[in-house]
Amino acid sequence: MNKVKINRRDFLKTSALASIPLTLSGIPLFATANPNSSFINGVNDKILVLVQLQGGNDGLATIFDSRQYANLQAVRNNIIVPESSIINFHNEYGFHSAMQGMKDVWEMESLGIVQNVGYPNQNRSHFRSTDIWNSASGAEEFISTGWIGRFYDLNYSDYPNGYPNADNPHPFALTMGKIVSETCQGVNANYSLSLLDPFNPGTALVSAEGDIPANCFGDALSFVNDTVAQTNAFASVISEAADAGNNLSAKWDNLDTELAKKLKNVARLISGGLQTKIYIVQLGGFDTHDNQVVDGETTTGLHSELLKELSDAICAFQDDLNLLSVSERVVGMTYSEFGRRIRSNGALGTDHGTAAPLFLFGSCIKNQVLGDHPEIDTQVGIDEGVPMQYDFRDIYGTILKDWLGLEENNVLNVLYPDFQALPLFKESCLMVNTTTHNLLQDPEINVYPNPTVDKVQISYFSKDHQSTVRVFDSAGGFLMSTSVYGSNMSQHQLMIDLSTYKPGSYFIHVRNRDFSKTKKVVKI
Amino acid sequence: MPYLDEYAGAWTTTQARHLLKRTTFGPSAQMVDTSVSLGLQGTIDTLFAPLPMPDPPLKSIPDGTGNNQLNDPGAMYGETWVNAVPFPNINPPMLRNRVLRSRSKSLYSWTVLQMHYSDISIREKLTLFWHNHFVVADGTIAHREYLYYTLLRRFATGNFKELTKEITIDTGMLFYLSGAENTNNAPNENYSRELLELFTVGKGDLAAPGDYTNFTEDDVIQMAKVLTGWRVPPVSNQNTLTAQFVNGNHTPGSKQLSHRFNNAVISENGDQEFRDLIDVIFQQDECSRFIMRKLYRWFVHYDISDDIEMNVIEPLAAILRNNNYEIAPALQVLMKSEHFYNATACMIKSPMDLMMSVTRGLGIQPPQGDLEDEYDHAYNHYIMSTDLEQALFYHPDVAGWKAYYQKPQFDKLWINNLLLPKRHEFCRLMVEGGIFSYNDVNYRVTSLVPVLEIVKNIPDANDPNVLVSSLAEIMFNYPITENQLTSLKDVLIPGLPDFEWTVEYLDYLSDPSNQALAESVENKLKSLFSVMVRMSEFQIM
Repeated sequence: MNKVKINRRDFLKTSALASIPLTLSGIPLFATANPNSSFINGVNDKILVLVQLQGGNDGLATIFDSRQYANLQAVRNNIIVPESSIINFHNEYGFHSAMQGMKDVWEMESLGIVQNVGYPNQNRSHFRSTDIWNSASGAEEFISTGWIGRFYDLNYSDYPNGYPNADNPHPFALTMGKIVSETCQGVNANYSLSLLDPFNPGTALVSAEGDIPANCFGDALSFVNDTVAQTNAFASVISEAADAGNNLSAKWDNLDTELAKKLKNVARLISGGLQTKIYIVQLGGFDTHDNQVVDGETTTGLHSELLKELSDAICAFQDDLNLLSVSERVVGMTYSEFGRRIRSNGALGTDHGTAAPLFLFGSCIKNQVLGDHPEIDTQVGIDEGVPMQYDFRDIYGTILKDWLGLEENNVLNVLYPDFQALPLFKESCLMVNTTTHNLLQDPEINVYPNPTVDKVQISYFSKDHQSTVRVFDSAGGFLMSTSVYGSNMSQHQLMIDLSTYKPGSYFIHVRNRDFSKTKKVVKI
Repeated sequence: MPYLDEYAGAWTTTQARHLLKRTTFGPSAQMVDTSVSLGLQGTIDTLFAPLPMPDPPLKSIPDGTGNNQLNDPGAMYGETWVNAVPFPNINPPMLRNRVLRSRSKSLYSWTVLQMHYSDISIREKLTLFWHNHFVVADGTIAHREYLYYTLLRRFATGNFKELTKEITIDTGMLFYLSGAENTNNAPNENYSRELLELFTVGKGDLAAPGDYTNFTEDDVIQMAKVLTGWRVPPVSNQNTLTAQFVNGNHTPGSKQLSHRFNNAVISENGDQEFRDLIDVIFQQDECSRFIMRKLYRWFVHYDISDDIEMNVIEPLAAILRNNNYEIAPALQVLMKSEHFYNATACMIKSPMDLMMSVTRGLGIQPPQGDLEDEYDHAYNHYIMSTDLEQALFYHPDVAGWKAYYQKPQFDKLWINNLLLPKRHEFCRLMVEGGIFSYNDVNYRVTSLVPVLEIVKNIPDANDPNVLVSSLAEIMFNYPITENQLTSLKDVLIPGLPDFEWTVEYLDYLSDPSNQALAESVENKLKSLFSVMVRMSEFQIM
């Protein structure tokens, strides 16, 4: 395969950033035109830590709503944890009993939860859905670059040719594992390096280089040669940062998990001055088709151990960042390829589902539960997952825009044209308040009649004059979409005809500039 | 372009080496020579010739209770453990675990040994292909892993459809993809989804909600019902290695598939029902294309352009179907084709290929005579490959190694800033010897490369230009540049003119029993080899 290279000159012609000078510290300014992003001394020094939960986390066994517990118990009696074990943290919301660490992060006012994150036409293949999350593509498109990779491609599409250099002496991204994350795949190369031991990143022997023919052999050869050069060039800055860095939290002391070790290294490298903006850590094992819990002792088992590992590690990490006085520069986000079915299976497990909650952590993250807790119907079908409320690309986009300082029009290019920002960050961390963040907290969507035999009338109050209303089937498959126009600050309504669909559960998803919301309708 | 027309060009070491690199692991110079004399057709015939099953793995740890000894009640030193009780009643359990671990270790070493010992045969490469296709990575007991890998080996050059049937009720697979948990009361879709998505037809574009062109979400649910009823007796039960069908756990009645399978109905057929289902799945032509693409990526190149799809994959898939899913005829056409020899060779070596090319490829055979040494040698190799992210029996997940499917990187995923230094180090160790550690355990590597032997077979090796370019021809796909040649000569004889090597080497040849001369020449050659196996060119095959 031949390399596809963005023509650098074409890029410069169209980019507003081309003439922006580099700062003294050598970090180029990203999107200075954006008044919403936060800069210290004019430099965006923000860091993003991605925590990938591999296998599909069971969101319904992660966060609970006491109002839904009884119904949930009815459909997953064999695996649900006792209500008394749930750790209440906010109003009626509670965590799985293994998640005391997450409760502590909430108490630090450094935890945000976004409910029901997914995408239209949920793909229930691990591999395809992971690709979708890593590339930030729609379910119907195939994009071979990652969302972080495209973010860097905007300014550094020549990478790896000529890197590191005086302006970019540090790695753009680090995956704390043996294989680089696909999120960082750019047009030419993956922007991430792999790291296990920050004190000893490893070096490669440099030997005489041969000719690079213009074929796939040349492509492979130059890839290896580049890797040799990069390995050696970045090894010293990484180990210097590891030597200069520190860990201060006592919470690490009793943590021996892989995730804790990795996040501890991340904190150390940040405190040691590494200017890497993106870190990726991974935690596998969430594909809990069976033995998600121990029979009769549902607070124990595979899922419980994973949630504990996750919560304890993030808690120690956040505590460490606070003590190291770098917490205002770092946020983290968990993600997983899908949630799991609402009904448990007979093997003490759950099968592949649809949407799930996602965690954001960091002292700049708004302490909130954004979105609605899924309503559980005791008659829920066997293939039914939690319907999507928020598109994951709106979370990515908000991070790119509000945290990494990317201009909104570039966010649309990197992600998708329908991007809508969400209120994820504390106002104090943003330079200017922004109107797009004033979401209605609890808009009411009325669906009548429900259940229905054919048509339903949908009505809701909208501050925005335009909304998109979509219908999904019970497995998250996209069926139809329609635009609704009305006046600002008024009641909007429309009629949807379900008569061509077979009986079952459907989800009406309403999205406009002010809210995203899902309502279930049953067709009989 | 001729594509699948039979290759009509010259049959030299270049073509023979290419064929053997791709169809075996790290071919030795001797294998290449044999292939040259066999010719293309002769080599293909030999590659696909049926072979008896290898002798089973042996206990290679001495008997006793000391640190490096072990009492396995099922096998003495030098005997095989595969006929012993799979889960022996030993107390305390810690001791039993030691026995079980030693059996697994024996199995892993033995698996690597089969790669070393298989001569001109495609069987081990295809067995590994199936291991990466029908992934079972459960860390289960060694007996299960042995039977599973033996099944793959038995069908390595055989029938894809029949293998799919057998693997469906393999006890390791029943555990790994929850088939043993799949009952009428509690259907579990884990296996049925992967059976379609990863094992047979693959997942196509989304044509409609829940419809992936080649199958639908409903098919996943219906097929899970077909597959209900299979269970694996507990590990303490003497029948634990054989799947059992329990009719009471099986979903009764017919199962209706979607239009993607021509609305086929799978009728109630008890313990044979899954076979009926697989026959139906294989009626979909996509099965043949799906597996041919995967075989093409394994043997030729990851990039399947429209051109390759039309001119290579499609006709090979037709051959596969015409042979009722026997894979050998289609593979033979591919391996005899113009395309196979004329396409640029640019595959980044998998860790297994890399380690085999730096061992067998350079004339290293596992030590003979001492069973423990022999198995330890192979185990080093297994651990190195594991550390390089190609752990046999421990795939990262059911999709197998990413290098064979993850766009756009594919085989580049074997190499990054972390893995490349490790690859360099392991190659260096094989040449120079030394110690490496993995998971806090130290492993010793003895330098076994017979550099003097290799060089003896190079005519005019007293000319350092001839020597270096001949070695490059053995180790790399394409000739090196003048600049690289000069640089490598400087590794052989730093700062000295060519004739210094000529003089020294000729002195050695005239007096090979002179220890000092031999050592001096050997050290120079080892330095040269050590650098060459760390060159970027050596990472590619």
